[in-house]
Amino acid sequence: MQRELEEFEKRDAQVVAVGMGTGAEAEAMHERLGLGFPLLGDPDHDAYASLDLRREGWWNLIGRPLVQRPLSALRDLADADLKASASPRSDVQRLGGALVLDRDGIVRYFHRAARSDDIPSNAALLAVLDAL
Amino acid sequence: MLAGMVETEIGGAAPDLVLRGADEVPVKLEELRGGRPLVAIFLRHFG
Repeated sequence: MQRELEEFEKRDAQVVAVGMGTGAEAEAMHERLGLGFPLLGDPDHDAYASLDLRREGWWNLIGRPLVQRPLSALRDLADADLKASASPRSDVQRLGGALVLDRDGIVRYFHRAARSDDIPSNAALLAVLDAL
Repeated sequence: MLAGMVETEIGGAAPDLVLRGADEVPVKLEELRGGRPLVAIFLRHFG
């Protein structure tokens, strides 16, 4: 997202990221990553729950990837930020999502991840903006 | 539909989501839009 932020800005879009943590944790990560867009916290997961963003079962989260693609699954586990995942405000089973609103605040795109790797591409989000 | 859950559907109004900014200040997603299109990404975790 950060790499293609300019493309979103060309379309006059405001980009916002949300994570399961406090405002302070969001601010710390924002500074650490040097993001060019706001990063906000949802410490009690109210927004995630309101949007009904799914929670993945342990089998689909860890078991199935280890069986189906063991090498890349082990690599993913090794790369995982265990400190962030171990935060009491984190919920490793909760999946993400994406929302696009138009200038009038109408929902034009809403994606609830079906799996942990189900993330809409920047190209898909930019196409939504182009169609507004 | 569970309590607190909002119907979020294409063509519907933006969900009324309140998030936390620096110093834990409540920030409404709608306020960030400022009359522009808005793309909100919900991450799996901070990491």
